[in-house]
Amino acid sequence: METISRKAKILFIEDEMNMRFFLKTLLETNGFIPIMARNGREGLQLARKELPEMILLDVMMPEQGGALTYVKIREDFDLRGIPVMILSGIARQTFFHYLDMVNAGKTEKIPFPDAYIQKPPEPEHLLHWIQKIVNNRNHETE
Amino acid sequence: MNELKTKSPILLVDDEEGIRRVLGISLADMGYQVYTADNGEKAIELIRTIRPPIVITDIKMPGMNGIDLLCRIKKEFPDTEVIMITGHGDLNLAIKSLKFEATDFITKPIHDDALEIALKRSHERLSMRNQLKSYTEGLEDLVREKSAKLLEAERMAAIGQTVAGLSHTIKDLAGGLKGGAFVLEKGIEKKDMGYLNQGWEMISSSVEKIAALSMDLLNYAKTSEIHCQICHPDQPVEEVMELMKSRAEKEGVVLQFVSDKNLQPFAFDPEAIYQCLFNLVKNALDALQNIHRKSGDKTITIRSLHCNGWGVEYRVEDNGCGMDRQALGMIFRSFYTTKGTGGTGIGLMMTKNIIDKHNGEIHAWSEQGIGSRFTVKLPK
Repeated sequence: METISRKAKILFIEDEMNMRFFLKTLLETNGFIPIMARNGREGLQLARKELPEMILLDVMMPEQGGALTYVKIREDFDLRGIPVMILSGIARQTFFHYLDMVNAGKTEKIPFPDAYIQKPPEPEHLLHWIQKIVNNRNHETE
Repeated sequence: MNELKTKSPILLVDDEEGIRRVLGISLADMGYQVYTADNGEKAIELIRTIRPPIVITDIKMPGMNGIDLLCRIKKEFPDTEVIMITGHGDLNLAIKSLKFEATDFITKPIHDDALEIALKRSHERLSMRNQLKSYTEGLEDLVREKSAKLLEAERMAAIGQTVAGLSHTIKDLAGGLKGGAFVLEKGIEKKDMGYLNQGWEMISSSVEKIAALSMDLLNYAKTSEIHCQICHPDQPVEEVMELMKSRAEKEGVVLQFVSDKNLQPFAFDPEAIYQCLFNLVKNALDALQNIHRKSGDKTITIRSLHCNGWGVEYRVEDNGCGMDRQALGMIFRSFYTTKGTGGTGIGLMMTKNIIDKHNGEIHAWSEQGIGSRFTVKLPK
């Protein structure tokens, strides 16, 4: 099996400090480069600047929340290809219903996120999904 | 919606005339008898007279906003289905309204498809509720003589809700502990002081929160029944002063007690009332914690006042951060907290329960950046 020659950058957008510590440690100790943002606005700016391999996104955040941020990522020409995992305390069906409502009547529908994990996450589970998504992307772009 | 034979009334609340007109046309086309209101007060009046099963309201309106209106409707007419219109496509407000039992939300610009999904959901819920009602009505006939059992069931349902709220709080705490343990483990594995310190910090803050939660629960359990005895109303205040003096001093807060000499002993539960006053003073201290005021200028005043027809009126005032109107409307609800993950949302709920059991009154006044005042009246 080939190993990834360069470290993948992963952006996570999360307002809670403890969660940021946890994600930073999880990513660092597994060979990723974590990039942190505290809210959606900051996250979008960093995403455009760094073009990460993947984005982890919280939903309930002050100022610009994750739902609107997700829509903006998917509507941004440079960012729409980046896989997004939603990591939130909100039930999966609530978020998916939100997207259905946003999509109603739209011709170009916003796709569902690449993964949805409800908080609190199991480290192994979370890591499994992150690795899977990043590896898939590397094969695609090779 | 073709199956609607007689026109079903629907109320549309929005301060923008354009939305009322356009959405009104769509709704009328779907076969509804459309009523409109341009503000919350008018909406409430209309609901009282026409009793629409479905209300559609904008969230952002001047005066009474959509969430306030939703709460009013759910309080007065809990069977009404309320659909919210959210303006800027953000989920935060929508989620908030779902927490207050909104049926659904639609985002602006409004598409007929979204409107139909939301309306279909409302009708499903209405018919489900009707079925349930006729079922339970039949059931009540059967067990009329055992009505005590039904009361018990209702009580159990209330406990169920409490447990659900509580388990959410505990889940968050467990998440914090788990995250901390993970970071700590990595620190041990890699002998990395940075991870060790961070992990430890995360764990100890979660442990502190768990300790606070268990204390709140314990006190809540203790005050589930009240035991009245003749007692001077200043006694519980003095006990609170005694206990809180050192914390107040440490945090640079002037804590003072102004007593009314005309007060007479009367029957109440001194331990439960002590708990109430303790909660109020603790909240006041929390409200003063992160504000920039000179040490000597931070004050909490407890007053005991003589009040005609009542045993006592207590006032707890602070000049802390205060709350906005929306928070003020919700503070007595179970598990509502303004302190983020730092609060449990139990303190004020417990306080209100105790005051209610005394047939007393509790009122809150607050203004952001100025402070808060809680007034408690106990009957003789």
